[in-house]
Amino acid sequence: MDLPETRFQELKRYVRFGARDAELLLAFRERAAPEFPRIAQEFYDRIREHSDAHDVFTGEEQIQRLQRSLVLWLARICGGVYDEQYAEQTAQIGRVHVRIGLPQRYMLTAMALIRVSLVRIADRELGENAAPTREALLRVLDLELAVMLQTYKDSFSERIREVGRLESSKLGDALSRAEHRYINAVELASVLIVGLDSCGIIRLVNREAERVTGFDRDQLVGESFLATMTADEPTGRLREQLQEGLSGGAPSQWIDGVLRTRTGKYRDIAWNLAFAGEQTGDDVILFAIGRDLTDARALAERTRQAEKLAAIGTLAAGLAHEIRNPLNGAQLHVSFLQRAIKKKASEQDMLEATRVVADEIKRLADLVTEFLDFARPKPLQLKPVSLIKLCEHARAMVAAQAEAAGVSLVGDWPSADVEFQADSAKLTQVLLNLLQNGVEATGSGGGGSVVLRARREPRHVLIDVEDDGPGLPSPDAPIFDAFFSTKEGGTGLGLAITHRIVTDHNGTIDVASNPGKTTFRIKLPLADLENAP
Amino acid sequence: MPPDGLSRTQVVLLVDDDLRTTRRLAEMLREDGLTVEIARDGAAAIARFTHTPVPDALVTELTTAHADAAAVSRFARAQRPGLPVLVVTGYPNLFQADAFGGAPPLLFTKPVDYSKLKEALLRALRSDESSPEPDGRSEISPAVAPRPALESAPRDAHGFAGDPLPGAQALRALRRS
Repeated sequence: MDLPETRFQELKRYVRFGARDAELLLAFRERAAPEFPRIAQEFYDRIREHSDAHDVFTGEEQIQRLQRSLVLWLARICGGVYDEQYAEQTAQIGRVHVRIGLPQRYMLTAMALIRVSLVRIADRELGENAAPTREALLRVLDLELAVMLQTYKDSFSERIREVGRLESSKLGDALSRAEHRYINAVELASVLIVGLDSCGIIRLVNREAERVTGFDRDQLVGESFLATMTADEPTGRLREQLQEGLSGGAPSQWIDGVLRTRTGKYRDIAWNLAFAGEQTGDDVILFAIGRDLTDARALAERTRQAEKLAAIGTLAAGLAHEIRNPLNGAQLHVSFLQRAIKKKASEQDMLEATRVVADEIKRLADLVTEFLDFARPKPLQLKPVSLIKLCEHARAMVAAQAEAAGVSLVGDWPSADVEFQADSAKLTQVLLNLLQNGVEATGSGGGGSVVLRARREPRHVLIDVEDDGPGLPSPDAPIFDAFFSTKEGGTGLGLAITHRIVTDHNGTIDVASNPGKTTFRIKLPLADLENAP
Repeated sequence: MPPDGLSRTQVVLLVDDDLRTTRRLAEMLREDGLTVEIARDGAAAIARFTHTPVPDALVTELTTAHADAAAVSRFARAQRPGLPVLVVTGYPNLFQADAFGGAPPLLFTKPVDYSKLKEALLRALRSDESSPEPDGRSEISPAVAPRPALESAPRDAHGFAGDPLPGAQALRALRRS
C-alpha cells in the first residue's frame, strides 16, 4: 500500500529531482569539498557588507560557528541521501533563520552566492560534462529554498494565529469587563431600575428596587409594573405615560407615584420612563427609573418646620420687646403718679402721666391689631380696582399730614385709567403706609417732597413712592422684616404688613435708597391673581 | 443731697431709645438724689464714657442701636473698672452675662418696678463706693472737658436713629482697640 506523498516528496517531484541527481551530487562532493571552507568564508564576508543582514548575528564567535555549520551544510546537500530526515534537517536550519530574525531576502540572495560558487566549481571540474551536475545542484538548492521558505511561512502563520488568539482573548476580556461594568452601573445605582416588556410586565429589577420594595427580584419578575410598583389605585398620569412609553413615546417627565412595600409601608417615588426600542433583540423595551423621595421629602418637611419655628421665634422675640416697652412706660408712669399723688404734685404733671399711660395702652392695642393683620391677615377681597382712584384716594388721605409737615405731595399717574383685580382697602393701606413714611422721612423742617407715581406696563402696574429725605441708613437693612425698626409711636410692623399685602397680590416691592432719594417700587400683575391667597 | 449710704452725688447714665419713659425715670431718680444723664443709643453712651466725670453706674436697655449693651459695658468698664451695670430689657432671652466685661450685670425685665430698680441701683453704688478705688480711675481723660450726654441724637423719620458723630468716632476707636 502506498503511503501518501509527503510535502518533500512532492517538491522533489516538482523539480524532477531523482536518484541520478543524488549520485551526481555525491560524486561532485569529492571534487568540491576542499573548496567548501572558502565558499563559507565568502558567504559570511558578503553578509558583513550588509548591515541589516549582519545585525542578526550576536558576534564574531557566532559567525565562526555558523561558518563551520555552512561547511557541513554544503557537504550535506551533496550527501547523496535526500530522505525525510534530510528534509527535517533543512527545515531545522530554516527555523534557526526564523528564530535569529534573518530577513527572507538575505536568505534568497545568499543562496544565489552559493549557487554561483558551486556551479563555477562544477563547470571547472567537469567541463563539457558539467550540465547534469549543474542541474542537480540547481534542483537541490531550490529544494533547500522551498523547505526553508516553508518554515518562514509556517512561522508567520503561527504568529498570526498567536496574535489572533491574543486579540480574541483581549476582546473577550474587554467584553466581559464592559458587561460587568454595566451590571455594576445598574446594580449599584441608587435609583430603582425596572425593565418592562411590551405588556408592562417586569423583566429586570435592580438591587435598589429590591431594597425599596422589600421584595426579592424573583418575586417581582413576571408581575405587572402597575400592580406591584404603584399603591392601590395607580395615578392616572403614570398609567397614561406607561402606555405611551410602551408604544415608544417620547421620554417622560418625572411622575410622582406611591409604592407599597412588602411590609405595607408607603414610599414616594418619582418615576421616569425611558423607551429602549424594540430593535435591541431584548424583550425589555422600557426602563422605569424611580427615585425614592420619601426621606428627602420628610427632611424637607422637617427643615420647613424648623425654619417656621425659627421665624416664629424671631417674631416672638420682637413681639415681646414691643409689648414690654409700652408696659414699661405705663408701669413707670403709674409709679410716678403714685408718688405724685402722695406728694400732691401739680395737676399738669399728673395729667401728663395719665396721658402717657393711656398712650402706652393704645400702643399695645394697636400692636395686637397690627400683629394679627401681619400674622393672620384677612383673605384678599379681590375686586376690579381703578388705579387712578386708588392713587387719588391715598393722596387725599395723607394730604393734611403732608401740609402740616410742609411737605409737597406730588401725584403723577397716566391719564388713561387701568383696572386690575386687587383688594382696594389693603392696597390703600400699603400706599398710605409708604406715603406717611415718606412724609416723615423728608423731615419736619419742611420743603421736602413726596411723589406718588403710577405707570402701566404691558402686564404690570408700577406704583412708586419717592421721597427726597436722607435715605435709609443701610441699603441692605432688612427693612421689610417684622420689628426690624420701630418709629416713635409705631409698632415695627408697617413695612412687614406692606410687604405681605403686596406679595399676597403676587406682586413685588423693592426699595432703592440714596441720600436725597428713596424710592419704594410696587409691581402688581394685571391678571393672574387666580392663585393669590 | 446724696441718698442714704452714699457719700457724694453719683452720676448714673441711662441708655434707652424710649425717651419719654426714660426721661420720667431720670426725673424720679433725680428726685431720689442721683445725678442722671440720658443717652438714646449705644454710640452716644460710649461717647459719654470718654468724658469726665465718668458715670458711676450704667442702666441700659439690652438692644441699643449702633452698639449693644454688652459693647457699651465693655468700653465703659475699660474706662472705669468695676462699674456697676444694670440691664433693663423687654427680651431677656438675648442676655449673655459673660459678654459685659467683668462682673455679670443685674438683669431687669420690662416692665420694671421703679422701687426695685432704684434699690438695686443704690445698693450697687454703695458697694462700689465701699470697695477700694480701682487703679486708673483718676486717670480718665483729665484733659477733656466735661460735656453733656447726647440726649437727643438726630433720628431720621423712617425710624432709624441717626449716627451722632462723637459716638461714631468712639465706636471706631473701640473697634481699633
